[in-house]
Amino acid sequence: MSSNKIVLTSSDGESFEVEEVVARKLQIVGHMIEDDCVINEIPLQNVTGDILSMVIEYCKTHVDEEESEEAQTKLKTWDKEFMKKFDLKTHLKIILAANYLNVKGLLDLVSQTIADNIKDYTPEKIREVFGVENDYTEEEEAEVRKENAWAFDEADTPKP
Amino acid sequence: MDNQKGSLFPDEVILQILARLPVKSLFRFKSVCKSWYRLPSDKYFTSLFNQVSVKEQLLVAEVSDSSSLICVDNLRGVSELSLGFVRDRVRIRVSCNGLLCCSSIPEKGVYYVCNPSTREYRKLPKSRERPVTRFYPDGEATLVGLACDLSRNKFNVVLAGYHRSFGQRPDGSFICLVFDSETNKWRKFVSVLEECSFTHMSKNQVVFVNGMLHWLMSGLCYILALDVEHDVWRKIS
Repeated sequence: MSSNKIVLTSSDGESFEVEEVVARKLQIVGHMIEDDCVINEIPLQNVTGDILSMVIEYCKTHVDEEESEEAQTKLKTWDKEFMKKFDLKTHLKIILAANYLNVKGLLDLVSQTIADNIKDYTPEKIREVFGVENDYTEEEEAEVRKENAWAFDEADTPKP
Repeated sequence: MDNQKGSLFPDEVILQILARLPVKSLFRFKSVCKSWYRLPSDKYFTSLFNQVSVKEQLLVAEVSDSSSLICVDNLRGVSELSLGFVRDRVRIRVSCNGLLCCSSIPEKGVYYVCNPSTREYRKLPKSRERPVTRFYPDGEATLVGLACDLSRNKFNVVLAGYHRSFGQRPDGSFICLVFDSETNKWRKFVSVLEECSFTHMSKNQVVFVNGMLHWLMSGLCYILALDVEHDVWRKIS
């Protein structure tokens, strides 16, 4: 295993020195390494230092994914605990970073975490959280709500 | 990365989240804005949603003599689904990859394909082939099959049985009608199939794998398989 070190720099100028195998978990970095072999410092424009450090923590933990069931269960538990450390606002920053840096496992994990968190939200709350503008007219929105009225019905919400 | 108007979250990120939501939330969030209304109809979304769902399997069980279904799910526990959205009294005939094929109880020869999770359904056009009304024994086809191809986003419904003129013994010609969701039409083909000893098949005895529908024949001696793409019958001992 190569023990090359690579320096990743965040948009706000924070630098992280990581093993090449860890950096390769960020597919965006993996592609850069393949395209041009001698890189040792990589600037990452769309991610801040606090979020990048979380992504790196995830990648370090997942660097050698063992096949054994025991190892898998352990990783899953770690994933759960890792996600619990952050609030929704941070999850939303992590998902953007995971998408930009192309870290498949983290993208799956954080997407599921967010989905589980917001599944009972009202459309109003969703707009607020995602900063989405309501582009329906009043009539259109009423129509869409009517069309999907069953989805607003509390009565048969899944019981845990 | 603080909240600001505009496309803060690219569609590809929203899709990743939507694909992991329970179906009910997905439909509720159609009211958020036009783009959230549109995204779940996206082809890429469907394949992503299917990929995720296959990993998180869900079991739907029929409650006998009622129109409701019990749905058991790894993530979300137990919930109840109703077929009330199909505006007819129906009997579930077969299921495949989340879709159900039901036949109308009051109106013989009328079939529906529905998705109990999304409450979407399609009433199949009536086949104009006369023989379908003469299947043994009570106007219904002996074999019913549903093949739902997730990768191609389509389904086929198969009805098959021996032709039998009114009051006569079957004459050995095996009639098969295949409905194609893309053309919205039935096609018919007739094969000569030596006497298969089947009675009415129970709905759970058909499985769709590798493009073939497999019916377990009575007596458990062999499997009758239909290649849905090529209209070919095969017996597997």
